[in-house]
Amino acid sequence: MELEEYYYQNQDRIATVQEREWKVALKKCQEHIKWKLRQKTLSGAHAGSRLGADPIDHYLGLAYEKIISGEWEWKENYSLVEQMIRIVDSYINTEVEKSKTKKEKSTKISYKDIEGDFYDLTDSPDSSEEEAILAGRLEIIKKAINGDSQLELFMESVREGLKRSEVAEMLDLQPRQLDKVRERLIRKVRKYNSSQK
Amino acid sequence: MGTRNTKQILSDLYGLMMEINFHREDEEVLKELEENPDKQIDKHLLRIKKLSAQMKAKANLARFAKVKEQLALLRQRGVEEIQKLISPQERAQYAPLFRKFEELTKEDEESIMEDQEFLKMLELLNKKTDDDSK
Repeated sequence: MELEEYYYQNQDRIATVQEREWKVALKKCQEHIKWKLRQKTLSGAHAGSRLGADPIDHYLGLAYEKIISGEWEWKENYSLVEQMIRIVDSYINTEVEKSKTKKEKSTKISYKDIEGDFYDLTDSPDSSEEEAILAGRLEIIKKAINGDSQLELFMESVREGLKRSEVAEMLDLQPRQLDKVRERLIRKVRKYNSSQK
Repeated sequence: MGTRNTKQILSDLYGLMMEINFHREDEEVLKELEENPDKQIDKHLLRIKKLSAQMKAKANLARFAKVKEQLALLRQRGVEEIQKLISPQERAQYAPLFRKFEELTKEDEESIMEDQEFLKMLELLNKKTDDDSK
């Protein structure tokens, strides 16, 4: 890795980052990559095998390497985790583009509203077979949360296309309290899946 | 909303999970890591420390090479010539450093990176010689 254009500029901020901030940024970024890849593979566009490494390791590494080397500017108004997520999203999107067009493209650096970027506009399922697979996934979630009225309402809000603050309002919660709901949903789906094996 | 297809619903669910994750409280994340240590995170944390140290070493080397290059250029020009470019006040201020500059041995060069006053003078002289050559 070489010293790149923004090394000295980024270094001024990196020098003030505590270990706990790195830990939080890495954990949030790791979680983000998992969901982003799941979202992208809905369209079958992202194949981890193209990368020749564990995709989470690969993108997590890129997220901080680009800041530390100064290849990417750590924008003044972004927190560490926001800058890392933006880098990850850019590389995942580029990888998706590559697999769609089969053409190598240079990384485009564009800055949009990060929360808007979480939601991807996808096409309709390509075939009845794909429709059945995706419906199966939704069915698993439905069965896993059966009887948990809060989670059922959570999923109903997702079906309606509501975003974080609207979902919280629907559930009569503060937006930050959704973290516990998210954890419970993951736990229930995992438990359901392992009970089916 | 009957028109929303399964793909869109799942995509929105994943998007919502990302949004909730992004806004998680730092303390919650740290607590989770404390209760369930994550080897992948530990591995990357170690790599961050290693990379930061490597890049810092590279930056120091680059800075040292630049200082040596500047010294060589100034020596080529000659101390008397350079002194003409600065004000009498600056000349008086940097007089001890000028002597050091003239007497600098190869061994001394290795330690100049720690001499902040000397580096400051070098920077000033380079600026003056740059302005002079314009």
